[in-house]
Amino acid sequence: MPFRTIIDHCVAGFKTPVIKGTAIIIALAAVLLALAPDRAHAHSFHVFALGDGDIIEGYAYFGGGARPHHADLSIEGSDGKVLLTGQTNDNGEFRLRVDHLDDYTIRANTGDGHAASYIVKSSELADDLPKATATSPASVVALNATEDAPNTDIDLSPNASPAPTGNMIAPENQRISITAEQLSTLVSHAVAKQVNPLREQIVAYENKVRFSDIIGGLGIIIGIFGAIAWWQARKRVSTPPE
Amino acid sequence: MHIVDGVLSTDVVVTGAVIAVGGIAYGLRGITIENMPRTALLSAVFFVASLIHVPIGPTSIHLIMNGLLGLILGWAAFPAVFIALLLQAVFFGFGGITVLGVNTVNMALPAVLVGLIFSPFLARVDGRIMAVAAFAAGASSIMLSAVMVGLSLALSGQEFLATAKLVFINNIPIMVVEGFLTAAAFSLIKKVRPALLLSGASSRATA
Repeated sequence: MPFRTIIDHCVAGFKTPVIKGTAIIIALAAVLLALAPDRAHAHSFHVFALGDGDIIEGYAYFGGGARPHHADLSIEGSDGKVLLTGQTNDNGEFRLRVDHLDDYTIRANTGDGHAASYIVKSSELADDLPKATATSPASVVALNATEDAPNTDIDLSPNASPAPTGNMIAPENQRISITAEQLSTLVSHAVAKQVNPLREQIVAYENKVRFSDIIGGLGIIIGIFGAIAWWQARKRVSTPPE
Repeated sequence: MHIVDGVLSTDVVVTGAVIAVGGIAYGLRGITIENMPRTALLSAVFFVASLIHVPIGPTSIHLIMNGLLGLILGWAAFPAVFIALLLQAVFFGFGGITVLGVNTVNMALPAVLVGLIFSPFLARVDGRIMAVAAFAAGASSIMLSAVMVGLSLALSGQEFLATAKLVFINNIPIMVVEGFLTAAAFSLIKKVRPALLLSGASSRATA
């Protein structure tokens, strides 16, 4: 029996079959554990979204990076009212245009028991949007997730309207003037562009299964059953007559 | 297979919790000093198995190993699964705290059923027949779990056929993988140290 010989060879140091069997089970558990860390992605489901201007875009994903195809999506305002229901695209992405400032909750559901939600705070959205109130409830429009339209549609044409005084303006001295709101929109868009990948990484990092968590969990399991074993052992010892 | 918080209706959550408490209580009664280590060990196996992913198609699936738990532990699979699921929920956000009962029942009840059905048969046969039976045990426990997940979702208002089909199809690869793993592990244990498979009372007799 070659299989048996391999086992015997591997655990030759152990004489008694009891220890040998235990050693094999521990070895099995160790192999499982050794496989775990680099593949340690939670089989959990998450939604990630970012606000930029009046656009909310994001995606749903499984821990480990897989994306659901056409997961159900619903957007709720801060009052819990569902504003829009739809689906993600093939890559689990979505893109929405909102017209009011509000804390939006984005929920995704794959239909087989995986669901997740993510809150986009109003502070992420453009300040010039009107606040959502009971009288003017927010509305959400779904956009094509793949389209890469610019989020800011500020017309930065040379400003010629305020009475051109000089008759000769060299092109290199040509000035554009933008309003304070336009500037703030541009800045917040630029900042969002730089910061968002970082936020994406942080969320992904938080959702990662860590090796220390796995070891901690195994320790707790041993502890729990150890406590039960101790309890039972005490009971058995305390029953015999003194 | 881990259902998360907020998907199931309250009725299903409460029913699951009640059945889980019953199963855990019954399972704990069967745990003696002798079979305590293996209950702890298989609880740890179940806890870690969910971290090993098999990326297939659009989604990735993970091992569950509830078939092996059922074959070796019987009713003690309930507390073993419960503790592992509790820690998975706390540490990794798999599933959730409120749905712990439902998830425990979905994983542990198939394990117990498979144990009750296959264990007496597996104790009598040997060699290739035993391996095939262990394969069937591992695969069918996943199948039963998938059906129960589908059923839990259906009772919470989702359309049963579509949901069950989705869960079932997603889990067909894992049924095959677990079948092989269960067969390999069971054969190994039975060859090397058959006494590990005996229940508490009988192992005391042979010890």
